[in-house]
Amino acid sequence: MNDLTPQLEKIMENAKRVVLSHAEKDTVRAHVEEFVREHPVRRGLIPSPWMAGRFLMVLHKPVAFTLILLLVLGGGTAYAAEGALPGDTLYSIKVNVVEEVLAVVTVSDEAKVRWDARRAERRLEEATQLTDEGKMTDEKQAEIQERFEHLAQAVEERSRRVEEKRGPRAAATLLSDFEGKLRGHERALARADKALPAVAARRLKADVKTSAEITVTAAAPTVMMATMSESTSTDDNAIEAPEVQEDVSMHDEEKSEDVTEILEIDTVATAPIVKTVHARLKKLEKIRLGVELKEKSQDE
Amino acid sequence: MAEKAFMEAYEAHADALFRHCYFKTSNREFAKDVVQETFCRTWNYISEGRRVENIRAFMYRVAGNVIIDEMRKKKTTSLEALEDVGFAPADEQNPNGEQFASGQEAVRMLANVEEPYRTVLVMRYVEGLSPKEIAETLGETENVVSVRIHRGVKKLRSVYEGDANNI
Repeated sequence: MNDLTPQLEKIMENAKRVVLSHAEKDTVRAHVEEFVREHPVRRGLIPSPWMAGRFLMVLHKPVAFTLILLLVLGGGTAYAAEGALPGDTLYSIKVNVVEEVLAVVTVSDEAKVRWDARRAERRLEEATQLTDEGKMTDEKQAEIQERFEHLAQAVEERSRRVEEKRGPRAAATLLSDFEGKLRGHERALARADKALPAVAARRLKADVKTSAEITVTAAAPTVMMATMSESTSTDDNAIEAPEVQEDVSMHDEEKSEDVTEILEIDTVATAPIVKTVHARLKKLEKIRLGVELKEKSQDE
Repeated sequence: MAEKAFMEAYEAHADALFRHCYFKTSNREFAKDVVQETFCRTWNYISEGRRVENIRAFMYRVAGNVIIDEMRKKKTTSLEALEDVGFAPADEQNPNGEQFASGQEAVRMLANVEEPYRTVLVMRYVEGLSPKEIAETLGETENVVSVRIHRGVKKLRSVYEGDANNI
């Protein structure tokens, strides 16, 4: 499925023939060579201490790191990033800076396992939220899945170290805690998945409601005041209230079919993540059972 | 010698970079200028004593920036306008003749696949890069690239099948 048919492959192969002609290549080459001659490598140049890169390079790495940390945390960005979801600008700050920094400052192996487990959970919470809001896409899903797998793997590996250092009981506790939490998230994800059509319908209702109001206000400017006060009062309920539908006329129902169709195309269900979580749970269970067995044999 | 290594990089990457820009902009002359500007900017960066880890990835990124910058300068021709003009007119004077003509089918088909799928398709099937290399070049995760390739292939197939039905 992921490969091209032989004919297509041949056509793509032919695209290689899109090249610069010899003459063109030589002309461009001559230009580039001239540019290179005119701009020799600058040696012995005193780098300005204020150039961002150099400024940090003169410092030792840990110092630079702390500086960045201070800048980031001090700016309140870290706080703002906390609620970011995949696709948001701040998401990479949340995942790659804030969470990483917290990972660095945790010391004991047990605390590290707990933090990795928490981070894995956070990925699943993000997936649930995205699905709930109908904003999940293939790419976001792939990203979350990759991050989750990576973190869950870290939990498994670190817990092995805990087992060596602190004994099987400590490791078993950590693993079963993680397992329990994952179970919860698995259910939540599956639920969000099932609710997807309802989410779509709810969003549609909200949309249709607003557009209906707009037409009303435009058609009858004299009753605008009344409509406006009404609309503010219903607006609060628009998100949840099922009775909103009563206000909406026939033509919305026609529209509802269209919109559900569109939403089905651009929202992606969480199903693959649910599968990943499920597979991970099975693996975890196996490891935990092994550790518990050791624990028992030790007790005897 | 940095200069010599750089000119070797030119020989090695100029054509692939040109193709990349050509598929992105649909304009042969423009793509040529972008390639030249890309090499100049890259050299500027190197000549200041800064290191470039992966020159191919670096230049693809620079090329992307150059295209955006140039597009801004020539506000008159928007990206959409360029796309509407299509490929053929700019290539009449192509000196590689017949050999070039057979590449046109791919060019035309790829023009019907939108971004970001077109770029990964070119990288994967024309340049023969692995998903991992593409991921490094684009600064995306391998997973995202795989998803894009997968979808891109689907789109390309439907373009191809659409063609077959029209004949």
